[in-house]
Amino acid sequence: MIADDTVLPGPLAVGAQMVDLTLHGDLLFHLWATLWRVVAAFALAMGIGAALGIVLGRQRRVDQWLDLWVVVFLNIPALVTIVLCYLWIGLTEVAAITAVALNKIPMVTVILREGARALNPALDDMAQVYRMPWRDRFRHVVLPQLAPFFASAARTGVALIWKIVLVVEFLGRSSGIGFKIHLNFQLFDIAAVLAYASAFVLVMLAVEFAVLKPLESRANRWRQS
Amino acid sequence: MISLRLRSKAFGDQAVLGAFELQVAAGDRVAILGPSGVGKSTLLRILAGLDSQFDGDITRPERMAMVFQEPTLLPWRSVADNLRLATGASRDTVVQSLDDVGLADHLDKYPGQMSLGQQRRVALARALTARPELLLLDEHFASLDADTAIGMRGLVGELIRDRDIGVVLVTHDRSDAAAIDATPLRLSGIPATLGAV
Repeated sequence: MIADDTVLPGPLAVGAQMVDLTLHGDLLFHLWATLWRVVAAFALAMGIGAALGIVLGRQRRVDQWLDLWVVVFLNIPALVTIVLCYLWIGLTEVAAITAVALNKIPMVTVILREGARALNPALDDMAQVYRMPWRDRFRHVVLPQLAPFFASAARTGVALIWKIVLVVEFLGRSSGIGFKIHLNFQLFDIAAVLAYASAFVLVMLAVEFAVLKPLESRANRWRQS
Repeated sequence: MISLRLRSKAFGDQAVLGAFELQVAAGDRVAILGPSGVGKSTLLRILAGLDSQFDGDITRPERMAMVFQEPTLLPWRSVADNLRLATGASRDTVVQSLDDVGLADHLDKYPGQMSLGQQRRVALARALTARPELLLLDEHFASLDADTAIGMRGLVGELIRDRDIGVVLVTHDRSDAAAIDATPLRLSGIPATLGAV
């Protein structure tokens, strides 16, 4: 059975739509709007989540204190956070990015907490005996041990964040891929929905191969030698 | 140079070290002997400043270095960077130190590309690069094969012979102490105290 083109357009039709929207439409504008939100939310989530995770992994008492809250935030549905942020902050860019970051922070925290717990105490001792400055300690002793955990948090982070950004845009923004999907959903234009979504998937693939993989490879160079 | 007046060291309710004093001046070499588990490494950690949970007083020199039981190198940094980052020494000093332990041509290797014996020599080079007033050695010949251990003993003895460094060596093997002409002291008893052999 061959599906109706209006229900399931073929790759060529979606590709042609994507080219058309890029050359004559507003795809690039909305792509950029979504990408900026992804980058901002990602930076916030990684920064706050990593700092929190490292503190929790290193300070047992703080971990005991905040562990319950981490679990609570980890289990709050994304939709609830988004709706609450829009209600409390308003339908603004700040609310959108805050909602996305809040959804991702607990996951980054948990991953980095595991990394901080697994730090080699013998290397800590070495750094202490040789009185390494704290910046050198963090950069050359702690960070390389956390690199695999950062990579894991970043990869799952990017994948999750852009999906949540689309929901945020769907519900309360007037730009971005999510907004356009919302618009084309109302028009039942499936080719356009797929074109906008595929364009962003291509961008994320480019990020994976042009940024994440080379960074990971560089961080793991010593393992390969 | 280092002066410890220990009243006691306990883990929970269990006293591991009892009351004793230890003084090591510049140029002195002291070997602390005793069976495994008696508290030698605990004492060394107190001397190194890695354990501050004890009852007693201690004064330490400004510059100390320690050779741990394991090489404790940063596997993600080159050999030269391992020395430079830990000690802040210049590249020339690092090259000279590695030359002293016979590893001048291993500057840019990662620790994982070297044998355990070579890694221990790098750890020794790192300690000496720090130009310590007090050098702490924690059973650094452990888990080496007999030939490599003999080579390391000779190397350590040769490298510290002409330096005015105080040395505290922790070991269960008297030949380690003899290799650096160290005064042997025995850690024994429950809780353990330090006395002449």
